[in-house]
Amino acid sequence: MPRHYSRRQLLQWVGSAGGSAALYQVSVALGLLPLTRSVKAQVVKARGERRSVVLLGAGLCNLAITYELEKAGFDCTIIEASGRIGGRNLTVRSGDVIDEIGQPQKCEFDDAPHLYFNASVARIPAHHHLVLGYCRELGVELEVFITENRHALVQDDNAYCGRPLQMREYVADARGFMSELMSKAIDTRVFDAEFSGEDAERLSAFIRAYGDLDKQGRYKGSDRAGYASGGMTTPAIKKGTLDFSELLKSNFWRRGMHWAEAQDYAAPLMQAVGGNDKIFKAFLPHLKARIVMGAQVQTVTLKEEAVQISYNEDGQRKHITADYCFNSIPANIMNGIPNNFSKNYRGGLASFGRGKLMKIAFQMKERFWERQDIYGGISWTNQPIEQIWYPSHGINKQKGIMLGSYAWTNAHSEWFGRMTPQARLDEAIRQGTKVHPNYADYIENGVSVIWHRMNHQLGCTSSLSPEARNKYLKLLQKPEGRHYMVGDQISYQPGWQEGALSAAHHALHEFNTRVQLAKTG
Amino acid sequence: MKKVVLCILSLTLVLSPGIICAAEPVTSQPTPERFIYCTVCHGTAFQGNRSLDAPNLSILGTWYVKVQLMNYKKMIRGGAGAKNHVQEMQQMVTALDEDAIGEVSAFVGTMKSTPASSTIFGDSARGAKLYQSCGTCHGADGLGNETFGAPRLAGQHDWYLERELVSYRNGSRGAAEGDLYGAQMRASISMLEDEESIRDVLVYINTFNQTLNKN
Ligand SMILES: Cc1cc2nc3c(=O)[nH]c(=O)nc-3n(C[C@H](O)[C@H](O)[C@H](O)COP(=O)(O)OP(=O)(O)OC[C@H]3O[C@@H](n4cnc5c(N)ncnc54)[C@H](O)[C@@H]3O)c2cc1C
Ligand code: HEC
Ligand code: HEC
Repeated sequence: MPRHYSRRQLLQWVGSAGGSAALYQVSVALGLLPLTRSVKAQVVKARGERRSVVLLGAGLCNLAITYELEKAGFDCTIIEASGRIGGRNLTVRSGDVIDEIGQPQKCEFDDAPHLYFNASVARIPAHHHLVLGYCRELGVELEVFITENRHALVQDDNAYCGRPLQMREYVADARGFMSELMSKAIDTRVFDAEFSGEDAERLSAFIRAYGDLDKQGRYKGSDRAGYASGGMTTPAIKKGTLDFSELLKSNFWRRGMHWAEAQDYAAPLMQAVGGNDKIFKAFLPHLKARIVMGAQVQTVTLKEEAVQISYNEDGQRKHITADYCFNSIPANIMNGIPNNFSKNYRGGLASFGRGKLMKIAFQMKERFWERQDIYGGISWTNQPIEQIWYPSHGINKQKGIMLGSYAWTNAHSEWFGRMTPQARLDEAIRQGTKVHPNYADYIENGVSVIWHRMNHQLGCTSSLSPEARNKYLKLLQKPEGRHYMVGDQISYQPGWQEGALSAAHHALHEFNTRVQLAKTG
Repeated sequence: MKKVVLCILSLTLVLSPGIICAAEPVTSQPTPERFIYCTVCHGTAFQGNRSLDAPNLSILGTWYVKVQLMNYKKMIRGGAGAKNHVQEMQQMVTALDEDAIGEVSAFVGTMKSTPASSTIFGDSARGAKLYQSCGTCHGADGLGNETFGAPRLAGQHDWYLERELVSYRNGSRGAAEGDLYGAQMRASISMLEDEESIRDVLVYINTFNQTLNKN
């Protein structure tokens, strides 16, 4: 431990401890806050010839592009391989088929408006201006998504004999113990003259407030951890403190504890009322385009002044030639579709990796968690299921759809992916029981969505490594002939709708520049 | 067997090959609906896709495709402990019965060969010498030989062949009980003593005429 702390180090420390709120204030002070951006895409009106556009893939990105191009008078046709529109924006409801490759499942949920499972898109942060802008423009109703819940649980096989703890207890005690250490460090005068006088006093008050210490700088427990009992008609009884060394053994402090500090996960977040697929569905009534379904693109051929696509429809090979093409097919699948792109461009497409995330959802006959004070949010465990989610919607209703797992680690997703759908549910129940004993008693049915096994997706994202991104992203953001590669994959935010819509607007900007040049030139 | 023959006939009768213009890459007739999922990984012309670890099937004969699909089915390839991509392929046959396996093998057998491009560098002349012993089974032109169960190598992706040769060597392929063909190939791998020999022989295999018809 360094013996002297400079002002800057302190600010850094406050920044990481105080999280995004503190950073926000610093940004305001330094005038670093982004200006409110316009969500309007500029597209020149189509006139005369050259107005046909073919779009590959009917995901959010291409739906938004079609919406903008049609406003400007272009004729659009969308070619989609799968049997549904929406791509990776998927909400699963009663009777839906989950198109897992080689192993389709059917969803047995009851048919009720609140009994749905957002298998991919879960949350929208406030700085996702394009997503929120389109929701406003198209009338998608939003509600709050609970990103962090201090009543949710923290469970780790390596700490407290695997006993689940309330997150608020863990967090309060972790801060208390840390602050007590800091407070002791001040006492022993390891701080140099920089922190003499008022600064030192403020710092010591900050530390006491941060950890809820007593006047002597000791941590004796805090009501932030929740009361053990009482507090209404009888006096509140504080909880005793946890064992610090056990607390450190839990892996919760590595990730989960700071989750809601992160750029994209800080409260408040939003979701669409009734399921996040309302977002892409809001575009559909405004579109005139023909959407060809069950039509897997077979080849992409750049011509001198056009792009030719061959695809399968009803067991037959068909062709379509258009003036322009927007292609959102996951790049690692596109790498298996014959084309005549340049070598370098193909090299870019061949560099995408597969993101592997998976979710398991259960229909619960009773919202038992709400009787344990848990309304929405996430519980954390060190087991391969990683996270358990409680729905932010349908609070106080009888039944609910809860996530029995949301795994982010490739090895965990692959492991679940190799199981049969039933074995996945059994395994998720076995692990979940450590977090919620008797969990299984409430489960009526369940489904799993293993994103790297979903047909025509084979990944929760197709994304570039940072090195490959440096090498290829700029190239892929430029048109290849009259062909534009799009989708969240062509952005710094793969795995976010904002990435998909940003890529859409970027491509429209490129497109617009070309069309304008053609007009004036 | 009869079923397979019938199937090939009906496919060739019903599906006329698409008209291919000069600039467009080579493709064959549309893949039947129920086997489209194979092409999501293996490519729409079954030409293979390195991004998904999937080999070129367009060069392979019906007989070999069938043998390997049955190997996956019986977990001779892709059993517990196998690498994730091998298990991933293994799961792709769980929903297929023997008839369906015959059907898809027959379809793959009708695909036009799309040769792979080479990615490996090495000493082709040395590779040619090393290949002499391989040729006994795989044929001097690398076109394969059904009698020995030896697949076509000409036109296959070199990164895949390399990966498989390493697998034979370390026993993750060819060592499972009941894998007779695999055991034969595994016995032959000792001829390639190191990585360099593997690369040299693959560079030589890349020189084969890849457009020849398959057998
Ligand atoms: C697990 C998970 C969690 C997520 N969480 C969030 C979140 O909380 N918030 C958020 O904003 N975003 C989230 N996302 C990201 C969001 O889902 C995507 O960014 C967005 O849906 C991508 O849209 P797209 O149009 O770029 O691509 P896609 O939706 O992938 O569209 C591509 C389309 O191409 C089609 N296609 C594939 N092959 C072919 C072919 N050969 N021929 C024709 N069509 C083909 C596909 O079927 C698909 O419809 C999440 C995604 C996942 C998987
Ligand atoms: C999820 C991706 C994926 C899908 C879908 C898929 N495969 Fe594969 N396939 C692979 C991979 C990866 C390998 C290489 C596995 C290995 O090394 O054993 C492979 C290997 C093979 C092989 C062995 C080739 C050889 O030279 O030995 C055959 C045959 C094959 N696949 C046929 C099929 C057929 C037929 C289908 C559809 C029924 C299919 N595959 C679907 C990924 C896939
Ligand atoms: C005794 C006959 C024999 C000899 C000699 C032989 N092979 Fe093979 N080879 C086979 C058989 C049989 C298979 C199929 C094995 C299986 O089913 O796994 C095979 C498979 C392979 C494969 C896997 C191809 C695929 O599509 O998955 C490669 C690569 C290969 N051989 C390369 C070689 C090379 C290189 C040599 C020379 C060093 C060689 N073989 C020598 C019989 C032989």
